[in-house]
Amino acid sequence: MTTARTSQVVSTPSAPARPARQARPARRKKHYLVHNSPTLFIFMMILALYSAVPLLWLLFNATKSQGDIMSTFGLWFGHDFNLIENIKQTFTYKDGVFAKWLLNTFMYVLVGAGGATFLATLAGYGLAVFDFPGKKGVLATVIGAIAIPGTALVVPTFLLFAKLGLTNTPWAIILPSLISPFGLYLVMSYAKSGVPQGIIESARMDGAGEFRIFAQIVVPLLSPSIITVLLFAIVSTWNNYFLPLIMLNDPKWYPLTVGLNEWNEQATGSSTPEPIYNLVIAGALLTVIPIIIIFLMLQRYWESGLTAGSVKQ
Amino acid sequence: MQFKTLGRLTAASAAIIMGLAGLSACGSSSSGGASADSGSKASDVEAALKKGGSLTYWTWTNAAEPQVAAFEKAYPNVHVKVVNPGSGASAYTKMMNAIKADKDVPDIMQIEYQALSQFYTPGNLLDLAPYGFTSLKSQYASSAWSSVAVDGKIYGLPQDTGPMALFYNKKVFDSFGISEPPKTWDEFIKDGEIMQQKDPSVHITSDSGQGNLVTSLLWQAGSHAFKVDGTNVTINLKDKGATQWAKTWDKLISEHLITTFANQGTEWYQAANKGKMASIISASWLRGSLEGSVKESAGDWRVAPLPTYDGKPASANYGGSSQAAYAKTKNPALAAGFIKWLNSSKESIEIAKQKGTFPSTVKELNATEFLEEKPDYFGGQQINKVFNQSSKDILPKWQFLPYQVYANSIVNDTIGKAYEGSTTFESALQNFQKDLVKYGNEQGYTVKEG
Repeated sequence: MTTARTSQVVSTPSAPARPARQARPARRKKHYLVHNSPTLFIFMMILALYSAVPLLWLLFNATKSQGDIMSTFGLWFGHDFNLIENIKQTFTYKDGVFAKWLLNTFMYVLVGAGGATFLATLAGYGLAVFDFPGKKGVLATVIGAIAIPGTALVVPTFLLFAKLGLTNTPWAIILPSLISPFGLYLVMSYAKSGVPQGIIESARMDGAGEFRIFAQIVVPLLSPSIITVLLFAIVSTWNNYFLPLIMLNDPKWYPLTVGLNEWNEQATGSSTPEPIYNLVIAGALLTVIPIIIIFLMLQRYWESGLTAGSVKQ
Repeated sequence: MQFKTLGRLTAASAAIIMGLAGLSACGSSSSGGASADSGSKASDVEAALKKGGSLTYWTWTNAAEPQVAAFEKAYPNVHVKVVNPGSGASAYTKMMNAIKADKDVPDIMQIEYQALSQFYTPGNLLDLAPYGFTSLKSQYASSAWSSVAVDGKIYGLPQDTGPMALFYNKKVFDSFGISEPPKTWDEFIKDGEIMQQKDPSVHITSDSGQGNLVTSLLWQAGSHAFKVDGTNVTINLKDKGATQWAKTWDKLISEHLITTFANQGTEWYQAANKGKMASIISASWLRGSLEGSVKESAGDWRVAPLPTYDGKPASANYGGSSQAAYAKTKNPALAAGFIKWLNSSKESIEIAKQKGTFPSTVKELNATEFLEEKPDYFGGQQINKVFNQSSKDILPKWQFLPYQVYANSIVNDTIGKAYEGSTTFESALQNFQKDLVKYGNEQGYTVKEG
């Protein structure tokens, strides 16, 4: 099942998230789990392995030359260690377009995910704390929006943006990324329990303006949920594939996901196929690394955010 | 190593948007943008090239950059922007999207023969006949020309062709005591059985049921599954040719004579390198892939005509593409001029040849130097002679659907089940047909089952 394996490698760089999430309680309560429920423990280990194998495959194959990828065993090293050469080639192939894609992705993540988090925080807090006419309607809309998968909106969004002349521009990726109904809902439910009405009222008594209250008092209180939303937004923007695939036709605006898939397809064209699997795999590895780093950096906050926010019923 | 799921997702999205950009959304008549007025437009072409302007050219060929550089040298006033939108279904999706949005549509597009009618049926391509292209007919292989010239209109100019052939590993065949490549599909099955009996790790070929290839194999089997007349389509995947193909493939799959590695994926290359895949059903353009990525078995490969059903030569086109102009391009004469230079000037054809493009022009196909080339990789065999003969043996009168890109994208979901062994090829073809009829009617075509 190479297909599933590799598509997982590239399209869900968040794969390593799963073992981390499951292994942590297992690690903390290890003895308990081993003694009281060895079957569950073994089952967990199998799941962890299952999630780790694609990543191992990626690591091993990123060190191979194209010839070795096509002729040696997938879960071990090839004849020669080619990692540095692969990475060099990845950055120089086609005038270094990979670096451009990397920068694009960073930009989409920074502006898109950052903006999404900012807006979700503002709106979530607003909905939790203030009363205004039409609030119930807004809430219903937000909850309804969570139920609609983003992919389903791509085509209508495309047609809308085409009319506005926004297709094939970075705005076509950034604008839809700014909207995160789930993030809004998460901040809202967190704010309901985590921001005591009393604090806000005493700040108002002391003569602080609403924005100052928000920036200096509410944001620090909400920080676990903000980090959680940020993490979700970063991962989803980083892995965004379908939206840019439809919206963009000029490689200079591609994010990594679309660019790498194009390189992958190059092997199967019917005019002059040029397989560059070693670059596709090295590129995929480079695509996964930043997201792993971000995840490890933010995961502490994420845990507390999830438990304290208790979004799940 | 191919992202089948992603591909499928893309195909599905393509389908949605194709629908929008299809017949229903087509406002212009199918005569193409420029109406053929009585003045001779052939002279306009030269004038336009001299006067200059700018064009956008979407292509995935590796020859495009040097070709455009040479073109701009010859015509310094013209600027051509080359954009690579990827290849295959995703490129067509992008083109259809751009056309639908009527924004950023390229003036020139590279379109494979199988996808051409998808673009000209709704009137999205410029008719090049008024620009003096009719006289170019004799320069191209007839199979290529008949793909671009339909009902007196010319929708593109052929760049490369893909006459089919059987690439076989002679060393592997010899090791099983098989001295000749199979001439008929029955022999092919027999050879496959011999290999499996003696060494279960060796399969005669690998076929994952890729849309383009299945279509070409139906063509090669003598099927006329799709009959198209304007927007009236008749689909019959029960005809003699299709049934022959289905019976043969039923045998190959049910007896486990072939593997189903993703075409040109890593496992596929591994099997080719290690001599575990004894032959490959493909077309002339595969040569570069073998030379570049199957180095372990260099010198062992040979090329033979495709096996046939009755022993008489029969071939089909698999891949190959043309360049076409957008119907609403701002400067049709200039676009026509660029296409003409790209696929008929000596200089441009030479660049394409050096980049490994298999030619579509008669002169290049019949050049002595070309025919007598003896690449070491193929043990000094004059392989181009085989391809050239194959080009002549391409069965005439095959037609593609006006929504062939969609059709090829759902092959995996319908006929793919037969490749997995969960249904017979005959019934898989019938399911495929049902889906095609339903989709075609939804798209505004009049589709009947023949």
